[in-house]
Amino acid sequence: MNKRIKRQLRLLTIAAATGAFIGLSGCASTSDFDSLQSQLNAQINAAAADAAAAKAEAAAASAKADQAFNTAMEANKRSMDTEAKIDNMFKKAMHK
Amino acid sequence: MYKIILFLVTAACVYSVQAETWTLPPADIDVFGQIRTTTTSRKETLLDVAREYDIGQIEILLANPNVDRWLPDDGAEVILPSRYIIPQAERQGLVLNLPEMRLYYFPQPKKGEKPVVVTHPVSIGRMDWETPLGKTKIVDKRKDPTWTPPQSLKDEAIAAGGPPLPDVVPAGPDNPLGQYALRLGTSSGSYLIHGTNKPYGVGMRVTHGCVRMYPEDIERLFDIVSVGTQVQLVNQPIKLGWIVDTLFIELHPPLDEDEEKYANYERMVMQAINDFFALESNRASNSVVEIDNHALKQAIAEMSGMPVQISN
Repeated sequence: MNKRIKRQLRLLTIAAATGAFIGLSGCASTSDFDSLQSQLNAQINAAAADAAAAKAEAAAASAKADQAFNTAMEANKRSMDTEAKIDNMFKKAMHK
Repeated sequence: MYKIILFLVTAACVYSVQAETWTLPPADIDVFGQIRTTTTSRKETLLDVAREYDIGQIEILLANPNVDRWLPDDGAEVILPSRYIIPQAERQGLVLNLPEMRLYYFPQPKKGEKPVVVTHPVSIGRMDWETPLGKTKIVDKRKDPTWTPPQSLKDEAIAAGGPPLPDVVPAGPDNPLGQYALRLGTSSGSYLIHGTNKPYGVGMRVTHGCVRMYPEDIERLFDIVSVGTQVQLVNQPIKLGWIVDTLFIELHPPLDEDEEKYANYERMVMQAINDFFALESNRASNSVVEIDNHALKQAIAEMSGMPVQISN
């Protein structure tokens, strides 16, 4: 009889210890996860901010490139117009 | 082949003596001259190069579409298009092909001399002042001519807001006729082949119907052409010719007034080839000519004003 009680008590102790361990380890895991989550969120936010900044810079660069291209095209057209005008003036100057 | 080599060697010999005079090829060869190249310096324009080598302004532009006319790159290679197909005309006297803006002179060879052909660039009449076509003669030669501006020109000068033209411009550096003039018999003698006080316009459509030459060219022509010389004025933007059994084509832009007619230039080229073969049907050689369509299309696309081989 004593033996049986002792065995039951031992089982109960083991169960209590396991429960306590599980309970303790559960509390520690949630905290780490939150911390990790917040770090991750911070990193994601930073990356998103970096991406947004890069996108804005790319857009600005693209706009500048477009502007430069348009300026070059305009300059080219003006140059061609000027050359055509010079050609015409030259031709007229060669008339009697 | 022997004939071609002999012709090229003798042609080169004559060429070395005088830049614009070439040995006249035999009847079964229509092509003469030589394509050469030179390089430009920053101080030159294409106009300077053209004058130096006796080439017209439009000719040098057609041959060098990628070289800037006013600011060629230092050391830029310039093609000198001094190779020509003789126009379809009698090989005697003067032949002037208007769209090509070039004159050919076939002097009568003296005894023991080889026949030669002399060629020079010219300016012709602009759109509203066309140079007449057809066969005529030189009826007068005049050194230090005076110029009497026609009423139409006087009116044009006033309409343009410029100073009125005088009734007569005396001989001298301001005379637009230059120092020499050859009068054509056509249109009551109102057209001249003359020099100029504006030599950089030679090879363009800038005159009032007269034919203008570089001063140095008209000076030489004046000495060797006599009154009574036949003059043929032709309109051949598409020229075809043989070197024995090989066919060449030389393409020039049509005159402005013919632009509508030449709107489909490729079709006009095909028609010209057919007409040429029909004319040449009595040719001594009966060999079949196969047209190289790729070369022909490229020649049409480039319209370089230089002879291009179009048969295999």
